[in-house]
Amino acid sequence: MVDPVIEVIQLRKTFKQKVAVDDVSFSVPMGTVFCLLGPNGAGKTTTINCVTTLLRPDGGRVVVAGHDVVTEPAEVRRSIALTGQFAALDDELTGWQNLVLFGRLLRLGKASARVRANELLARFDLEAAADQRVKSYSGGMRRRLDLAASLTVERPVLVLDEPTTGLDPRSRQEMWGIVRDLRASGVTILLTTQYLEEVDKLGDQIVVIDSGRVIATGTPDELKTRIGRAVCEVGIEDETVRVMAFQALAAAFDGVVEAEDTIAVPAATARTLTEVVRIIDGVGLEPDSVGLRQPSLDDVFLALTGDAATAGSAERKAARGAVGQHGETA
Amino acid sequence: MVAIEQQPAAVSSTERGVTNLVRQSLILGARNVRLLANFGSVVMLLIFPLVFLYGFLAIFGTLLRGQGIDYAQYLTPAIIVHWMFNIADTTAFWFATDRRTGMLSRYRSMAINRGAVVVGRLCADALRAAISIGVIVGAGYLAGFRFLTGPVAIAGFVLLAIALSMTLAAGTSALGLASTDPEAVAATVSFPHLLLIMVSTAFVPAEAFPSWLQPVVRNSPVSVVLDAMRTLADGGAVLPVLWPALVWLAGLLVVFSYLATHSFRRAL
Amino acid sequence: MSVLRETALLAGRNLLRFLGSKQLLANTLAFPLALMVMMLVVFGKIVSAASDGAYIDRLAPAIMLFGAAYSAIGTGVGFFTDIRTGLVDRFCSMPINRSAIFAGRVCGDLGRVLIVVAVTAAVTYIPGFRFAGGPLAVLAFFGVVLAFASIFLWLALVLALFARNEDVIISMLNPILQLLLFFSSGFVPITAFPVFLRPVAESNPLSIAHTALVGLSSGGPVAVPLVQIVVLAAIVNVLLAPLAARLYSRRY
Repeated sequence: MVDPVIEVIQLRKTFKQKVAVDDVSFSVPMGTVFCLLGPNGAGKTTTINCVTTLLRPDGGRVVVAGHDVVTEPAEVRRSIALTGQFAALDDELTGWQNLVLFGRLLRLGKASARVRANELLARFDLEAAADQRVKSYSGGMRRRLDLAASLTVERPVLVLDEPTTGLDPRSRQEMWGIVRDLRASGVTILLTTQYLEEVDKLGDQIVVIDSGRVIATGTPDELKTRIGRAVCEVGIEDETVRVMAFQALAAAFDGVVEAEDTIAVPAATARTLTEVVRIIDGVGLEPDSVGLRQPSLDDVFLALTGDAATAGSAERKAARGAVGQHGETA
Repeated sequence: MVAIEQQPAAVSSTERGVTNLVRQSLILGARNVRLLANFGSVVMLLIFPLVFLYGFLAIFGTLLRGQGIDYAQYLTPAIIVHWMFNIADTTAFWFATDRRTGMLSRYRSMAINRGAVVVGRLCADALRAAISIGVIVGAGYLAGFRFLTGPVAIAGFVLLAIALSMTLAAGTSALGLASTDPEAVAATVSFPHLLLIMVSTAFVPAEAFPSWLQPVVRNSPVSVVLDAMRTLADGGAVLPVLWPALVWLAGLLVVFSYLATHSFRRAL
Repeated sequence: MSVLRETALLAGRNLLRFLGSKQLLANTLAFPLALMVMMLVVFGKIVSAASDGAYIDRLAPAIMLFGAAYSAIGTGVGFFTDIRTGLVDRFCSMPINRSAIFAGRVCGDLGRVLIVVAVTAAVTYIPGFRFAGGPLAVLAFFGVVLAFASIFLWLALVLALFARNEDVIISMLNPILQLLLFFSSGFVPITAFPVFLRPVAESNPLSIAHTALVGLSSGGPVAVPLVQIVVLAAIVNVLLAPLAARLYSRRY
């Protein structure tokens, strides 16, 4: 049994009044892609900052590659490479110059830094733009260069903070390919994201975070079982009609959730759609719309906490209180 | 890719030790210097010092000549010191830039020496200092300032001024790294500067101050450094004025560098 | 949604920021007060002997003007940060009049100046500064300070639009403000300047504003400098506001 590469034990971090991270614990096994999933403000970046020595934890322990982040920060930094949310590059330099700069800082000699820069540019498909200033790069190119810069010296652990936020679908796919390649070469990857699809495509293990707390852990498959493979969404604007439909559906299915104008039914197969239509028809109601869609982060959160991941959850909870509880899966 | 157990035990640290500090500071310093080629820097290093020098000479020159002081000789080192302060005032903002672009976080998460970023900044400031010293001395020569001593003293003069600039820059670096709001830094940074330069022998001799203030003026670190610089330029017993200046600068440099590194560790 | 209303809203945001930040508040107030105490102590007797009237009557308005002008550095840097972090873009993408974004910044910061000047005036009561001219003069006094401040605030905003990095603003403004301070009649009377330099000191906006302020608070010539400073401020405001908006659209 190999020791986990990163161990976070009851991590706690507060800023003035606010508790950003509260009693977060997880272990990252070697050679896996470990995802921190959560909405904005959940505490993902704060957790990452504690792991990468950018912030000091207020409580708990974080051990990276056998070194405690508080007592041996230099050793931790030697084991990690961080690519933060904002591409941290020198705009005025060219892509190549950026890579050489970081290489030389990390003690590669002038010659090896250059060789390494060329290697990275080739690997990340940036050779064409190597001699242009980073200022002129597109978002996707900047992210790739950012990642390349982090990998100037190979480290056992790579930490990525929201690597594909704001990227177009094609760039996102490229990033995923790169992350898979890195995992294949033995790097352990800790990444944060808001996108369920990303977790689904890349993650070996997931920790779901909300308001600084861990609300679920498991593999993507385990998570999907909890919320269903897909979601059947019934749109009903009229509140009275919706309440009746909800009660009918809740009696027949587990984990039915009511949101603003819709009712979401976890759907293991597409047949659920026909069932749902039959049930609603059976009580003499007519929905505005019925359809199948992929589960979103909101669905995950609704299933796990009873609140939507997005703002307004407090109001929804209050509104829903009168109607009757959703079924929370075990 | 290397698994953890297989990492060679002899991988030398890139973070600890003076060699790393020096190497990395020079690399970062070179990068900083590249950023200096902008309009604001050029104007500040080449044009404004001349305006100050000649303006002050015009205003106070006659007044002080009446008191038997060759103002061009007296003033030139003062303008240099004032400019060392001006350069340091801008240093805090470079860190605001690095923080905004994310470079500060990157540096902090890399296995580089904790002092390298600050010292790299000081290196770039030393270069700016050297340039403005050259400009001011040149302009001073046109107005009558002369080095009445030999090349060793002249070198000492220049080095002392550069040391002053680096010490001050270390102080403003600590400020710039500690604050996440550039606006707040703006309000803090020029205030001690004006205070210190006025309550010193920079522009007027100590005798011009009220008698009870004179001890403060005479012993202010700015005055101490200026005394040393003026002696190095005019001639006279150097050692008695030089060692207090060196003690002040060394002491402040140590304190400020420590504070700046501390701010770097805690910066976000 | 009128321009005025939008401007007021954005100005309010600025003021809230200022009042909410203890560090910012303390530093902005401490600076002029400390400078004034020091100047009083160092030059008080000398200047009172050389001219008539107490030094504080000349010094207090000078410190207020200087503090007001110096706040422009904060404005410039703050606006630069707003631009680069995308806040200004956000405002531009809302159905808000472009000029209101900039005018809002200036007005908010003028509000800040007003607070600082009021506090300074209250503190200078102790060493003897008085408003000898009556309520209308007091209003005009603050009006002149604000008009003077607006010149530098707009200057700082335009600089912020040109600047590549945070340090450009202070690199350019710091020496200008220092020159203003030293080459003005604020701290020493015009008569102390050599003859050929007097035109320079006299045309220094700080000198003009200062003469007006001294006239309004202690008595003396008011009309000419008052008109001059108001006209100058008006020209700067009218020219730079739309210029700033246009520069912004072109650059970003």
